Amino acid sequence: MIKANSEYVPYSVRSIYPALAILALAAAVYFWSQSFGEVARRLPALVALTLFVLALMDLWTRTKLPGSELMRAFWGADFTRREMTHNPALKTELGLMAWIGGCFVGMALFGILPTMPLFCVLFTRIRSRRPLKQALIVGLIVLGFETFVFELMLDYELYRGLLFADGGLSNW
Amino acid sequence: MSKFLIKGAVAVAMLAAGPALAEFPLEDKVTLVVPYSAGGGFDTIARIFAPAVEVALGTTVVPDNIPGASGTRGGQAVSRADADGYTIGIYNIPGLNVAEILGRELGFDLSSVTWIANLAQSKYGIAVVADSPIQTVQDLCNLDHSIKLSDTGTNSTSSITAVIAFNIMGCSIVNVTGYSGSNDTMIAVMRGEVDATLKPISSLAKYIESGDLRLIATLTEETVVEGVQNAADLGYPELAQFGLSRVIGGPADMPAEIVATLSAAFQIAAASEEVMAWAESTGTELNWLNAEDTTAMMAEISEFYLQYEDLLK
Amino acid sequence: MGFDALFSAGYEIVAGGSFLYLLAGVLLGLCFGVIPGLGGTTALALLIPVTYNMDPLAAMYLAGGVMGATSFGGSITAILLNTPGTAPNAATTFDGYPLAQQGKAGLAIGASAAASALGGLIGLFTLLLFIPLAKQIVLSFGPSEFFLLTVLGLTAIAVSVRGKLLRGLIAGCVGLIFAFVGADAISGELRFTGGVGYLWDGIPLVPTLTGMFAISQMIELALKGGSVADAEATPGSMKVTGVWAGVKSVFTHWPVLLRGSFIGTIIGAIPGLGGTVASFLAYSSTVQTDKDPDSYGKGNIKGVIAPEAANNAKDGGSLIPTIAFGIPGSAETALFLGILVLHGIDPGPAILLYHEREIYGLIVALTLSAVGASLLGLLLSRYLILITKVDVGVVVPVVVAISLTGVYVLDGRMADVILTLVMGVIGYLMIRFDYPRLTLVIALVLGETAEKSLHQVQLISDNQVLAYMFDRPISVILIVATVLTFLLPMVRQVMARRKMSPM
Repeated sequence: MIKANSEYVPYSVRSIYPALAILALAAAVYFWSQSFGEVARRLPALVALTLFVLALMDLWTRTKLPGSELMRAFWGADFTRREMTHNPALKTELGLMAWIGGCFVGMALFGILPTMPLFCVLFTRIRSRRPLKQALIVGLIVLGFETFVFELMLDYELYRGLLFADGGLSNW
Repeated sequence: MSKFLIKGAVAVAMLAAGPALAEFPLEDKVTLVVPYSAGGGFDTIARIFAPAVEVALGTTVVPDNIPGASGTRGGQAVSRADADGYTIGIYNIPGLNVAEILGRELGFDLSSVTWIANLAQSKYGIAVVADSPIQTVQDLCNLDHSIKLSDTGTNSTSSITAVIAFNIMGCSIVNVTGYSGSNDTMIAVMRGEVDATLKPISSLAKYIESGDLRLIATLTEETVVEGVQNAADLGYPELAQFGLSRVIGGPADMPAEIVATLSAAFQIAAASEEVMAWAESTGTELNWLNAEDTTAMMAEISEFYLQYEDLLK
Repeated sequence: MGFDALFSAGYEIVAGGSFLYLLAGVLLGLCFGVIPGLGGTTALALLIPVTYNMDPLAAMYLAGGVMGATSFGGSITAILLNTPGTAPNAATTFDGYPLAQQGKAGLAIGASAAASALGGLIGLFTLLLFIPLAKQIVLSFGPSEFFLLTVLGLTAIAVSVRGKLLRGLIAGCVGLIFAFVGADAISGELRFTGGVGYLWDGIPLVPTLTGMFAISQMIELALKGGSVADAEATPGSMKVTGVWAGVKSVFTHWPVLLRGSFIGTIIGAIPGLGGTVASFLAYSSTVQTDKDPDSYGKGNIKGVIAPEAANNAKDGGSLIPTIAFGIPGSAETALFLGILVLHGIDPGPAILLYHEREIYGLIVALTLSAVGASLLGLLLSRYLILITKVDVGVVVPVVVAISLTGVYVLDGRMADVILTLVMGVIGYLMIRFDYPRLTLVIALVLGETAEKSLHQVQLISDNQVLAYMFDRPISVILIVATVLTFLLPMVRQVMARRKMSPM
């Protein structure tokens, strides 16, 4: 599991920006919670403050300030046991999310039954570059599963898509 | 309302329903929207009624769960549907009225819903733990601290009823809300965290029968249990106005014949053997009302809760 | 008396036609448990209309089969794809997924199946012993205990995410903030909804779980390429080995099994949250009492056995509130009771008195189903494990497609699908920047109860929260357990450092 390159931690992961983003979230939640009534704001404000302090610690461990070494050791805040050891390019990451986003758009417009098998076929063929035959088999399995289990066995009507269902967006 | 009046109204509805029955439910299925997830109280009563209504109507009736946004999403779906009788819904009354008074955006206009029939109504009772020294509501009010009551949500019907009812009686309460279901609120009484709870009599009944709780008052016109105070005994007859209703309604401006047909079908269903047997075994209080009476009841309920607008906010 | 009813219920299943319904339930439950995005709650919700025309007992065996089988199904994906089916399955990912990555999925599945089956049996027998005390057990857990239980659960998880305490706590706080979204349980005030009606009832759990685990894991896998199991670890073969070694490992590590089952039954009896807290507590206590805590999280088989045993033992415990008062102990039991009401059986405090047949039938169905699902899982494991050896380029689209469908099916809402995708992206960012997703999800599960029970204690105790808690023995036990859970790893760490540092 641990490969040779796992010791290398990319700059974006080590940098102070993740901690800053959380710091901003904590501050936003704290100020938002001040608009609620006394009972409703008590815990959100408390948790936001705790998060703020923890994010400051996180920030500290990411710097070279005095004591940061000690903080890292105390909180176990180093990056020795990372879940994801590879470091894909931003373009690849966005490309993959576009695929999944595309799947959602298809689902929303044309409904679940046609979109899901089509997505599987296209993804397997184009993104994963598998043979067309394999892609078609995967698509057929998904189509068969969704039709058999939901539509036939449980008599459940899967979403038909904005183009074919009544009610439009308000039914979401 | 006198029994004679109800009988008359039924007869009129049946007369009107006669010819309409032939034309309204043609081929389409009737969708009965349930604004909560499968398995809850509203879902159950809808599913119990559906097959019986199906027989009476001669067409398929399919309960459709559209949960979300505190039960308003289902109401929105009904209000958007065509007013042709093929989409109707079940409504939580007075929960929705109170939400509207509190200024929540329901996403549909409660006053423009076409009311079709009332299916069931529960009245409230007040219960304490079985071995409690408290015998009457008066004892409860004379405690050396504010009465602690257990409830589900602040905006739940029973919680609203408790706030208004004890205000009418001039007793101060602390409503401990947040319990996850009406059963949990009764168990809270048994654990001794709270002094009493105000809940539908049918829910309390199970725990009273099992000897865990004791009823000290019912918010009803007539005496329900011998020796237990009713609203009049308490000196506040208006307390009998509180109740929890399960009402059938449809989109705005439904044609009168279709409403009459549907209403009659629900009446036949309410009197059917299966539904009666189910109601008997689960302690559900069936209370069928025709469209006209349901509409009148809805107007009364809105007006009643509007009086207490300031108290609720 | 309990055992008589148990035997007659068992006889009824085997002799009558109910066995087929039970089997159908097990198959459906296993299938729904394995598929990310679907789960026991979805399966039961979809079954409600189907069971309407059935005989009440047949409906019950079908539902019981589903309930008993989904939890093992959820563990299979937790091991193979790092995608737990339900929140209680999440603790299995700690050591199950590393094993799968090393090509030892067979070992993990075997251990999980055996631990589930045995844990289920142990849970059942403890349940039978405790039935006479059911009412007292339920009555001794009030808001004070619920609040402390959530704190204990969160602590157990924070220390379980080994070596990531700080970022684990941060993720936990974010999870709590997510839990605060929607109408406040006490005042009813809407919070953090930004005018979106969808958020009134809070951030729903199933879409969050699916997005955080299934979708984000698929993004990570697709970007990595290859297959789940390291090709170097299992050179060029599609063979599945180690299943029986996994089964045997459960017997070698029987103290781990017993402790897991014990924690599962005790904590699982607490209505609502017991299951989730139980499996994490079983895991963290196993790690803390082991001689070599550092071997966990890297594929220690004991880290699979403990949560799996707790997970199925809790199914027995979660019936205690149902037996005592007819109230649900979990989302699944709530739907199960809904099915009973539909058939004219009114669950209440006298349920055991009037409906002994149904309750014992359910107990037997749950047990048979847990054992049956494990056997079935072992038989099918060969094919299931192949998933870890197939190119992720094929696995990813299928899992994405099926899990998005599953999320839609739960309530028929496209908004749930959108939330799933949003959570998928957040989850991916968390993997990327090394913040543990588990603490976030579990904090979301426990957050609402934590907040409302704390406020309830305040109201009940007239603001004397601490005095009220210290007056209640079970609360004190929970406080002590929390302190121990938090301090033990720190003490060990300090001792280890002292040993290592030059004198």
